[in-house]
Amino acid sequence: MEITCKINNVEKRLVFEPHERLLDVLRREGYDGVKNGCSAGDCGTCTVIVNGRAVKSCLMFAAQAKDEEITTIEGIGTDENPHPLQQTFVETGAIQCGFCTPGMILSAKALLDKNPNPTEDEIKRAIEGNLCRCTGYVKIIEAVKLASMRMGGRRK
Amino acid sequence: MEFYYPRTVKKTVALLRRPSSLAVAGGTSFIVKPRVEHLVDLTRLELNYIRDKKTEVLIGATTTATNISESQVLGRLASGILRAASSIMADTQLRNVITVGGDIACRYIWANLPPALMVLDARLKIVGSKERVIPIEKFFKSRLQPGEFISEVIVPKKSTKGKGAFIKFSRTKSEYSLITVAVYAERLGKKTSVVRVAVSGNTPPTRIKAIEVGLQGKVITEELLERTTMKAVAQLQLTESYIFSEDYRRELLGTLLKRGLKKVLMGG
Repeated sequence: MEITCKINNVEKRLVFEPHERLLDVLRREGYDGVKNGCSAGDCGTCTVIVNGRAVKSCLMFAAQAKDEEITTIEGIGTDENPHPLQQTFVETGAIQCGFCTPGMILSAKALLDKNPNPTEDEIKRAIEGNLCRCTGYVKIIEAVKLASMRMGGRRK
Repeated sequence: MEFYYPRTVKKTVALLRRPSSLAVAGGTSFIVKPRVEHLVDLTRLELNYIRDKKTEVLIGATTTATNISESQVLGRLASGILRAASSIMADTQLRNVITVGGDIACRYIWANLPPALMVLDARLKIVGSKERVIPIEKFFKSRLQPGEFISEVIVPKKSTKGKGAFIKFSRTKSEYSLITVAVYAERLGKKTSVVRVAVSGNTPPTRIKAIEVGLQGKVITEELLERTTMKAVAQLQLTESYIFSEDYRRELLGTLLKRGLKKVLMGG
């Protein structure tokens, strides 16, 4: 089957089998920043943003993305011009092995886009569906706070 | 396998009536079943709404848990019991796609919304060849006919004026609920006038009438609450679990029920 959708602001035509998951189709199309972790909706490494909300692409049919707007990690910054979250994750040491990072950053981005000045509890809640087995989360929360400040959110 | 995007209820019913078809709302619960040939997307039927009517609040079947948790209207009903249930289930990304209709229709034992809706006396609008409205409890004791699907949840306002409590017990916050407890009560003077209690996790979602009857129209004392709850819990048939012993789960269920009941009936 075939659908069109917008991926990182570019109109795309996707061809796949009806039973295929969004995760697999995105990776096949070259968006390999979308990680395949647990494949069961637990770990959050496959997180993408669909119409402004963070979702897990392993528990979504590609067919469900018809006419929707998807953002992956590839769409939010470049090496030369990283997103503030990408910059602060590097600066604060919120990345160790890096596998959870794209999902973590997209969950944080979905939060900051709706709520530029989140409390620590709101940050924790936004990333509760993203597991990190390296950092212990402290540095990640710090990175989101720092990005929030740089993006113009006032601290409470 | 084929994937369909019907835009009308009529077309949806026709598609769902065919053998080997399955409705898809959020999609999170889908387990690839070899015999499913037709997947029918329910999310393009404009059933994502929360409508505040005079005597009831209407929740469209594809309204997400996130939408419910953010709703001011639902937050005001029965101490915000639906807000509590919808904001504590699963995790952020899953709440963004899990729908109220799916959470009911999948009949998972760990689902959090059914017990909360049960104590609010919610009804379900089911569409198919005919339209029918049934109490949510009846849904869990019956089956849908081919072609039928849940299109709306109806929460009557008159049964939401009292106090409510919702408890999810799980080992980590975003894990499946091991036990879910929902309590709703109204008081008239010193006595209770309405008591509704529902649980799931250890049993399919179910009201516990023995507790309701035992506490209705009574002046609540700790002793009465203890006796009524423990007696009812001892008689419940629990599902099997290979992780937790039955003794442990029965003990836990009693403790959580008393906690919820105390919060609503004794203010603590």
